[in-house]
Amino acid sequence: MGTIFNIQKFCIHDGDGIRTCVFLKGCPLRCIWCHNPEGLDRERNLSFFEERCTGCGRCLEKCPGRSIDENGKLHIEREKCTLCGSCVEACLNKVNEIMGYEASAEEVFADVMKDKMFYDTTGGGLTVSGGEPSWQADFTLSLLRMGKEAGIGIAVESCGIGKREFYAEAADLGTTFLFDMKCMDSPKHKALTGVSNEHIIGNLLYLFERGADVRIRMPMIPGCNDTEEDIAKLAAFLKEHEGKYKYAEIMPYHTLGVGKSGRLGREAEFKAENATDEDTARWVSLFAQNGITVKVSK
Amino acid sequence: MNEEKLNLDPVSRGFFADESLEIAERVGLALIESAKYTDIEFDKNGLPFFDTNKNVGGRFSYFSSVWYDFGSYERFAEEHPEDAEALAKYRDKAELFNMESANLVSTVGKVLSDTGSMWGGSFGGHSNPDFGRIINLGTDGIREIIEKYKKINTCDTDWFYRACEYAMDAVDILGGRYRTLAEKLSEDADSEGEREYFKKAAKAFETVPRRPAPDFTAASHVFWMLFTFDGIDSPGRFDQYMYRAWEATVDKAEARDMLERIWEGFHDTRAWNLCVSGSDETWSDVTNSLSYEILRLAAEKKYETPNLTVRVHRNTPGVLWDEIANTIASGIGMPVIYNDEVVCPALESMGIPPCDSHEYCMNGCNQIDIMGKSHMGLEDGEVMFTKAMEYTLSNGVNTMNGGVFSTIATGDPREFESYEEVERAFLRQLQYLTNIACNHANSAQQIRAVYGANPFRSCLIEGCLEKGLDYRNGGPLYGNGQILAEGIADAGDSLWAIKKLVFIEKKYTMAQLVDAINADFEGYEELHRDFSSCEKFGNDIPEVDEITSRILNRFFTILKRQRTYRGGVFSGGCSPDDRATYYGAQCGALPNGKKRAHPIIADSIAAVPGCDVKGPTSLINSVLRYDHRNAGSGFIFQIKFDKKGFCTEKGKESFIGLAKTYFAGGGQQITATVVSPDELLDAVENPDRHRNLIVRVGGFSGYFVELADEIQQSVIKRTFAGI
Repeated sequence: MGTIFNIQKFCIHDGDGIRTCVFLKGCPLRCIWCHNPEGLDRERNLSFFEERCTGCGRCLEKCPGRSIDENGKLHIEREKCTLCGSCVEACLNKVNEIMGYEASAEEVFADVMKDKMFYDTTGGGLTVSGGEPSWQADFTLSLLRMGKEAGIGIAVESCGIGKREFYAEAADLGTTFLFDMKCMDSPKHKALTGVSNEHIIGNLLYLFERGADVRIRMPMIPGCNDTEEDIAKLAAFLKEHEGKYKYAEIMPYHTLGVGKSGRLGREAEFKAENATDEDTARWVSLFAQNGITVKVSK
Repeated sequence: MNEEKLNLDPVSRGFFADESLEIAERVGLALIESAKYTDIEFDKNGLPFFDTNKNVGGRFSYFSSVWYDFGSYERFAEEHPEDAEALAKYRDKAELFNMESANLVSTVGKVLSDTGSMWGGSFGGHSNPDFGRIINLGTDGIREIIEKYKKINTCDTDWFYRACEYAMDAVDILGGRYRTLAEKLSEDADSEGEREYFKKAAKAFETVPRRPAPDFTAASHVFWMLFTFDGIDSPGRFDQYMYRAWEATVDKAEARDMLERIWEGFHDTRAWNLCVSGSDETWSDVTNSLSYEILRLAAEKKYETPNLTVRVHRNTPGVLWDEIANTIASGIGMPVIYNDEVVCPALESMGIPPCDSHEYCMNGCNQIDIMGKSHMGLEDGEVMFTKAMEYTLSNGVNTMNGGVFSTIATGDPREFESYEEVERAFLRQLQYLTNIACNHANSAQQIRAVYGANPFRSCLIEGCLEKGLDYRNGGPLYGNGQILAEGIADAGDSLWAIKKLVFIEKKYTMAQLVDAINADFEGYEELHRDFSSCEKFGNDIPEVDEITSRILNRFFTILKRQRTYRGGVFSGGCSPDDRATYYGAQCGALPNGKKRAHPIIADSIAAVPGCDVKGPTSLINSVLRYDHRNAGSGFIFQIKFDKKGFCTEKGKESFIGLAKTYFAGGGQQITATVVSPDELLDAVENPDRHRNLIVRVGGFSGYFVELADEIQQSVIKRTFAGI
């Protein structure tokens, strides 16, 4: 069994062709800009969409952790939440949602295969994402194995933090790796993501050595990892290993994750504006000055 | 409703076929008068334009058949006393026709308001005359055909053939007048370029329209003259019938200039549907250099008209697919793509052999027709599935009309004991409405056959001259009819919600549901939430998709058992239309959670707007559960893309991937609208900034800011595919 929070059909930026992305819960990194905060915890979470709440009080009956103040505003004590789901059942306005559910690899894969026709026409397939797929390594590998057997494309999106065996086994299956690189400077990497990057780069070099299908993806966050020096270092690394990866792509920051954090009771401390076209142009040209052509994810 | 009131049978009211023959000849004479006296001009694009509204012999406009203008009669009789007698000859009958037409239209209108569920017969129908017949054979060529068949068909056909000869004479007279006018314009020209242009036009009219057009310039002039004389409907397979002349033209720059003038003309006159490419009966591809030129021109001009469609099939070249994607990415929501692999078999199942099924194109918004061989009467009527659902739960009473009993009694819904009883009652309501729509369509076809002779089109549509029968009187090779279905997913979602919540989970009773519906869900908030959050069509969920496709297939079966007056079968289709908004507003509350009079209902064969939450692949999987080969009249599927995503290489590639998969899975037709959500929202606030924003609604591309509020909202709500 695995814990997932979404199966998204018709993904076209997560590998070749038309794909289905399976998003797994749980990630050991804590990137300050995380845009999929519902994927952070391995456990399920309650998402509370405050803007939709009318303060009607229907959800109070079975929940000890909820109250309404004199202004008719609902308060939740999240530490008392047992994820029983009674609020979801009671609410008429779809305010409450439990993020994440348990599912077997077979169940998930059956859903993925509903779009087989599209994979066949476009060379697409399954992409396991997250969260961090290597954090549910067995589940991810089961999905990849089923995909290989069914003859569809298989890919993982990984931050690179998993155990070496995970990458080894996935590479044996012929998986495409959409591999994140966030920052070459290890202390800075730790400050931004909570972990240092030696292990991650070790895994990447391992995949290079194996000749695996690797595509590099670099989230670019204004004011975080986009100094001239940051980009020069990333570019130098890419230059050194040119030919070992299919392409490198930058992913300009967007603010979609901020609202989602609030709904999960996570204070989004990180504040940045959406990357502008000028930002993107600057990044592309900095890479170019260092001899690297990057794609831009839109 | 009392069915007797609906009896419009012309025969029982004393009309006879003789009259129709006599009328045909009079219409032919009227065409000559029109060609002689109507003011003509070369329009701002330098093309020979004929204003049908000034035409004494009537407009051939698609909805009014022949409509006589008495003011013009009086004027012409005064100005040309030598013809006064001839004019008076056909005036009386014209008066009678106008009166009958008006009666018919108002009676049909009443049916719509009584049941709120359907209409039938009030349009005469779009058509696709084969202009190529005159462009490539000349009127003399047509005369030869007339001569040939006049000798064979001798029973009561004299008047008909005379009328057709008059029609061709009218075309020649008109050509002569344009020649004189062009000579004059050439003499008066201010610039050398203009002088040269009109000199060429005058030269062209020395031979056309009597003889085949020697080059694209001559072909363009004669095309535009015929197209506007006929009343501006659908140009059809323009890249096919104009290709001979296009290829024969050495000076391609001049040919391109003429094409551009025609394109401007299409835009100015709001021409209907133009179709490029396709296959022949051996599945060979027929794309030519003119097809590509047209796609590129459409992308460059970004006009909303004509409706541009392209046909694809197993042998469509990759480069055509690329051009299609580029044209769509220009933001015009076109071309619409049709799949020959499904359309041709659909037509063949209606008795049309492959040699002709492969000649199809679209007329009007998006209805399928056979170019130059048919009068499919598009469209003949429309049936509302949502309203049939309402009648199922009201036992035939129109809840929007002060509770008048309006259709048939199918049982007290509170007493239904199984889901099967509910569905059976629904299908009976649907059958009742569909049959009435067909009856109406036939009555209207019959009246038009008697009073609406159209000798001009009879010359351009195969079968008429061959049989000696008018275009409107069963002359064309194929006389099928078309009835559209609306609100399919709303009905499917409603039936599934009843099945699940009342009969499987038993959470509610039929009585509770009926009470809630009667109260428009006021005081039934929890019930409303449960019914509206049931699984919906459009998310690849077999249970609900199966019900939805079953009821639609049943509709097609009901139609296939009906015959048209013109001698064909009725076929069905589905098309998004702005009338859907009106129909939604005419309908009571429904078990899918739709509130009373809420104007937003399902978008043609797709999901109810906002209900397809799993993206385009899931929507496509749902939609492919219908059998698209059942829909011989067009099965319109729209998918919306935001501009930013679509215009990248990956975006275009993905759209082509989607379209090819859809077609491989048995899909008939796909339309992509490229627009960003922000653009739409901003367009509501600041219409002035978005005057050029085009969206596709109701089978045509329209300027977003000019749409009614509800339609704007429905466009916004349509799920955005997140490329």
